[in-house]
Amino acid sequence: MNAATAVIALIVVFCLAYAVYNIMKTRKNGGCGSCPSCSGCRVCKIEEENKKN
Amino acid sequence: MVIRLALAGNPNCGKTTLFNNLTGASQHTGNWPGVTVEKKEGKLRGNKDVIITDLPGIYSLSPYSPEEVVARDYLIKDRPEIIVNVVDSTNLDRNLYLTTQLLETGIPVVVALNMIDVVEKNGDKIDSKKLSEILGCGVVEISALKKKGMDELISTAINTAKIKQAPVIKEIFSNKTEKFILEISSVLKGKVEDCLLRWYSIKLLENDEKAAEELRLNSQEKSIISETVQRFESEFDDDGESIVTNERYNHIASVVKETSKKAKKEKLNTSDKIDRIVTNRILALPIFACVMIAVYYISISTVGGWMTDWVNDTLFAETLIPGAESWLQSVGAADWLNSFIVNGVINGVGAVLGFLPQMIVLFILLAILEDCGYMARIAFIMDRIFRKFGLSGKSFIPIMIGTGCGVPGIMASCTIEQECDRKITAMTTTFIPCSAKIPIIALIAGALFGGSVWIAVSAYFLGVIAIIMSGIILKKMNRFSGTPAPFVVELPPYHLPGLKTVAFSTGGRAWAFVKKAGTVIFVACALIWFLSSYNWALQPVGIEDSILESIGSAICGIFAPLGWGDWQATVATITGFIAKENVLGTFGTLFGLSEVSDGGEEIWSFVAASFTQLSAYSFLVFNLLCAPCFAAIGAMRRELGNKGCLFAVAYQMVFAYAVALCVYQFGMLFMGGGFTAYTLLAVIALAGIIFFLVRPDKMLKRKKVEVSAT
Repeated sequence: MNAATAVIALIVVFCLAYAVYNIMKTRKNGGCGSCPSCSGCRVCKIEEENKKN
Repeated sequence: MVIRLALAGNPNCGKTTLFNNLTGASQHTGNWPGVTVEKKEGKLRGNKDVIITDLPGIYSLSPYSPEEVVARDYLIKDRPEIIVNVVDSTNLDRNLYLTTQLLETGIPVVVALNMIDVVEKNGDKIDSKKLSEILGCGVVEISALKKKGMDELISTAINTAKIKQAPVIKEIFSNKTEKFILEISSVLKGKVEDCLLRWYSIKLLENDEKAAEELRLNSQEKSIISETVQRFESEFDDDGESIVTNERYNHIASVVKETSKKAKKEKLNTSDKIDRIVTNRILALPIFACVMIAVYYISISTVGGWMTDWVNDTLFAETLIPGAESWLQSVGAADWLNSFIVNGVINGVGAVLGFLPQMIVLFILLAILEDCGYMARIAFIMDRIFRKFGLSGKSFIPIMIGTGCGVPGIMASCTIEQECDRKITAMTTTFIPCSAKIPIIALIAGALFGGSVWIAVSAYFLGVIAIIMSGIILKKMNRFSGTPAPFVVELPPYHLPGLKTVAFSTGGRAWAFVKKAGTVIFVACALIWFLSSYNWALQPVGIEDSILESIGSAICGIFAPLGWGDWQATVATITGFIAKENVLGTFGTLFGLSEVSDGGEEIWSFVAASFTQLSAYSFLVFNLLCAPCFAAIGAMRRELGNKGCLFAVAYQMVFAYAVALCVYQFGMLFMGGGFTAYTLLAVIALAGIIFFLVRPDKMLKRKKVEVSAT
C-alpha cells in the first residue's frame, strides 16, 4: 500500500466513523437525524430540548 | 430570578411565530391549525433568565383534546410565572373565550393582541386600554409577523411576573352562578391553594371529571358538590358546562361591543372571495388537482428537472466523477480505493444529491402553499371526501405534514381524539410520497417516461387513493371501527407568503436532505459497495459474484410477479427500508460498478435499460406504498404499540404488493402479454381488494341494532 492510498483511506475511514457517530448521536437524542428526510418541522426536537432543560 | 413565560392561545393565532421572535428559535410554523403538537421551550433572546414555553393551540382549557390536556396540565400543575395569552385581534369573540379561562387560573396574564396590523388595515378599531380595564390584566398590541410591539410585550410580561400581579377577577357570570361558585369554593377551601380555588370551583360546576379526580374528594365532599351542581342545573334547566359556556359568551359579547368597532359590515373580504371559488363544492377538487399538477410540473418536469439534468449530466457525469477518478489515479491510489470513492461514494451519494434541485423547487412551492393559507383549505376540502369513507378531514393534517417526512406526520396523528381515526391515520400517512420518495419518482419519470409530470401527479394521487381505500378496509375491522371525529378547522385569511418563512422552511428541509445524504446514505453506500465488491470469502470479485448478488438473487423471485425480479431492484428496495433515498444510492453504486459505466455516465440510462415502463411503474408503486423506512416504523410503534405496528407493516407490505401486482399483470394483459399464472394471482389480489372494500360493515350493523333496541 503506497502513502497516497494510506492517507486517503484514513480520511475515508474517519469520514465513515464520523457519519456513524452522527447517526448514533441523533438517534440517541431522538432528534431530527432520525428522519431519513426531515421536513424541518422539528417536532422531534422536543425530547432533546426537554432533556436539556 | 428565573421567569417561566407560557405562550397560550387559539390555534393559528401566531404563538410559534412570536416564540421564534422572542427566542431566536426556528420552530416550524404553518398557516394552518395544529402545527404545534407538544409544548416547546426556549430562552428569551438577550435574557436567559426568561424561559418561554410555546403551548399547543387550544380553544379552551377543557380536557377534550390532547393539546388541551398538554396546555392545561402545564398551566395548572407547573404554574408558570406569567401567561402571555396570544389573541388573534381579527377574531376577538372567539379568542377571548380562552382568555376568560386563563384569567381564572390565578397566574398573572398579559394579553398580546396579535395581528393588530390586519385590524388597522381593515379599518377596524380595538380600544386596548379599555380591554385591559375590563379584563383586569395588561393588554399589548403586537404583530408577531412584522415584529411590532415585541419589546413592550416582553417588558410588560416581565414586570407583571416580577410583581406577581394576578389578574383582577371581574364579574363574568351572573349573580346566580356566582352564588353556586361560592358554595363549591367553601367546600374546597383548604383542599387547594387559594389562587386555584375559583378555577376548581368553576370546573366542578361544569362537571369536569378530570378536575374532580385531581382533587381526590372524600365521599361527603363529593355528595355536597354533586347536590350543589344538581341544584345549579335544575335552576337553569341545562347542564353545568353549557350554562357556564353560555355565560362566558354573553360576557365576551359585551366586552367586544364595548372595546371594538368594525369599519365594514357584512362585506366579503378578499379571503372570502377567494374561498368562494377555491372551496366551492364543485370546483374545489379540480382546483386542488390543478394546483398539485402545477407544483409537480414546475418541480419535477421543468424548472427543477432542468437543474437536476445539469447537476447529473454536467456536474457529476462530466466534472466530478472523471475528475476524482483521474486525480486518484494520478496520486497513485490503489484500484480498490478508486473504485470505493468513485463508484461507491460519489455515484451512490451523488445519485441522491443529484435530485436536490428538484427537491428545493418542490419545497419552495409547498412552503408557499402552506404559508399563504391554501393547505388549510385542502384539509377542509378533503374532509368532505374523507367523511364519505369513514375518515375525518383531521386525518389530512398529518398527511400534509407527511409530504415532508413521514415521521412528524405520524407523530401529528396523536392530535386526533378518536382512537380508531388516530390509528388509521398513523398507519396510512406514509402512503403519501414524502420528500425521500420524490427522488425515486423523479428517477422513474426521468429515466423511463421522458420527465412526464403525470408520473409524479399519479404518485401523489395514488397515495391519496390508497389512504381512502385503506380507510374503508380498516374501518370494517373490529379494532378500527368507530364514527369519524367531527372536524372543525379555522380557515386563516390568505396572505402573501413571507420570504423569510419560505426560505427558512425550504432551507431547513434541503439541509436535512443533504445531512442525510452525508450520514445514512453515505454509510449505506459504503456498505453496498463492500457487499457488491467482495464474495463470502472476502475476496475482491466482480459484481456478478458478490455477496450482494447472492443475497439479492435468493429473494428476488418474490418480486418476479411484479415485473422487476432482478436482484439489483430487489436490493434497492430492501435498502430503501433504511432510508428511501437509498433506493437511488443503491442504483448509483450498483450501476457505477457495472462494466458499462467506465465512462462515468449517470445512472438514468442503466435504470432505463433494466426496466420496461410498466415494470418501472410497478416498482414505483411498490416502493411508494410498502412499509416506510425504519425511523417511520419506529414512529408508528410509538403511536400503535408493538402489535399494532407489526399489523401496520404487514398490511402495508401486502397492500403494496397487491397493488403493484395488479398494475403490472393487468398492464401486461392489456398490452397483449397473455394470461399467465401471475395474472391469475393478480385477479385473486384484485378480488381480495374489492371484497375488503365492499364487504358489509358488521360493526356498523351491530351498532344500528343496539341503537334500535334501546
